[in-house]
Amino acid sequence: MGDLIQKKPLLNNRQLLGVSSLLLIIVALVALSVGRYPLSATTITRFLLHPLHLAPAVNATDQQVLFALRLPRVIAAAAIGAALAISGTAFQAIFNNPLVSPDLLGVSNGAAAGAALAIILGYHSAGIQLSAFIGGLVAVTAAITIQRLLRTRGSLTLVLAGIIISGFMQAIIGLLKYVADPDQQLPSITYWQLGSLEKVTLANLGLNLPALLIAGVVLYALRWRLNLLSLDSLEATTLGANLRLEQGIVILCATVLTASAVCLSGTIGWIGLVIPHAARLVAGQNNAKSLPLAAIFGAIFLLLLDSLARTVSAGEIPLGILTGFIGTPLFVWLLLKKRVTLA
Amino acid sequence: MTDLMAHDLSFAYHTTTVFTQINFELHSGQIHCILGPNGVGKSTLLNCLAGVYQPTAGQITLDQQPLAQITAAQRARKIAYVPQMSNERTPINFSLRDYVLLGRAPYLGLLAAPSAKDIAHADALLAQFGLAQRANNRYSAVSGGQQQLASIVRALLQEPDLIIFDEPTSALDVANQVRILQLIRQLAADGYGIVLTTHDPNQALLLNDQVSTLAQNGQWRSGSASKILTSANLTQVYQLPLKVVTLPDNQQKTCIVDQNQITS
Repeated sequence: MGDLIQKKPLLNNRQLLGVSSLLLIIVALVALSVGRYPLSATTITRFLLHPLHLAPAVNATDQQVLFALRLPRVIAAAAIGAALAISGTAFQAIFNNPLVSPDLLGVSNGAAAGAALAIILGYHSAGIQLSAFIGGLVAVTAAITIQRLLRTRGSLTLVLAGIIISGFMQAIIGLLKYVADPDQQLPSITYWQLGSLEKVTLANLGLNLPALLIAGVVLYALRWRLNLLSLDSLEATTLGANLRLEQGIVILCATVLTASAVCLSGTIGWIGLVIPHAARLVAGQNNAKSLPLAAIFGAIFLLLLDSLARTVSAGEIPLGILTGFIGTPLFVWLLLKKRVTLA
Repeated sequence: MTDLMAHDLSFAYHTTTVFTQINFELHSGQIHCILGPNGVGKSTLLNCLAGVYQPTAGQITLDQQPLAQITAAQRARKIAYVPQMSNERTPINFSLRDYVLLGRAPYLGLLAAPSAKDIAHADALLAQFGLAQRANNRYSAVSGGQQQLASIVRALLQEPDLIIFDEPTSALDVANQVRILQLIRQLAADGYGIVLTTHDPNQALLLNDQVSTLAQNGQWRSGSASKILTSANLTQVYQLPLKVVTLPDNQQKTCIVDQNQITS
């Protein structure tokens, strides 16, 4: 019952957001400078301050590396990390289930299957994006339907349904790879499955960023409402929620976030599951406080991982592999930690 | 003055009839106690009255307006619902303050969050109910009595006219049961219309206002406590020899099991 003693948190919510935002900026600056072609802090500062006419321009090679390679990548890593964390927070809230995430619900693999199908059919950028979104939506709808058919409300049933759908979507991806053209299409699809930011360009970033921003802003605006939607449907309705509409908006936005992230980087697991837990551990259960923090944590986490992926070996390590290695023990640690506070 | 009326209400799950032809009335300042054994459909009836379930037949009106035509948010400004504390309820890990603030939801737009004024109001009510020290504690970590009080604070933050309680004392010890019943009486005195379900006839005797009984055979009876809480009616409702007796010391009525009538 140690929990009954009121603990004053070390930092209040605003201070937490301030400190983590500052950390995000530092990590982003470090991410801009590290890689196979390291750049000094002075170069980065000049590159960032030059457009404001506050510093002289950097040399052409550095400019090219920063503008065409590093900057899109850093923006993508931060946006995808934040998107997956927001998506995970939203799914965990509306299903009132701390064990679900975009990947465990099958949304990530559904989006990847959609994207793979679009590649096979010869679609380009916008077509792939739309197909990924539809794939993600089909997956989450199927998972919810299976749970409803089983008529149980336990946390594990939805996870099980998600695993089933994920497996099915992987089978579809397998089939698509089997029929894909081995020279052009197969490498593209394989790339999706491993997860990497290597192929992010300003062009595909520009295509996906608006969808990421809109869905992210809507979920950010709905963050307090997520508290209401996490209650039993009976209670939420008697408190004035229009459940079908509101849950529908949240599922759509969380799926757009996941699908756009998948379009940019392929399937990157664990972030959507682990980061919301980490944010709640620091900010508490109130989604209004934990969602913004989860977004910042997600951005920092993926920026760090991508920097690591670019620096530890001569070739790039796919992000899906790194998140798996780091995400799994992190999740076990979080579960253990949570148990300690519950005791 | 707010009125909640139900006329010839029937409800069925698929082909299983739960209850038929129920007539019900609740007015501001009144306590309406619905009595009946477990599993007869008391909670289902409350869910219909709260506007969550659609009755299969009959009509419910709130101030002469059909309940089904009122939006969830408008309804939640008039009728608050205090859920039953049970193991089946989804665990809630919000702090007590965040939990009670959900009561402001009917007044907030989809994209809004409680204002500083809402938070101050919530803190004042928490203090009034003796929960100020627990405001930052997790809802699931406080006692059953405190959880029930927090649910009442949440209901009051909805600024409703009517409050529906589903088995408000079912998970509480006797001291907390009495505390909650006294509170319910006070709320009625303050002008709230209260409807509650219970399976204990003594609670209905203690509250001594309007009573309805729903028997296992679906029979529904409604009226004042003195008219409904009779030995004959309670015996029929619970299928058990029950006797309403007046205690000689304080003239208080109480319901007891008539041991002489129980055949082993």
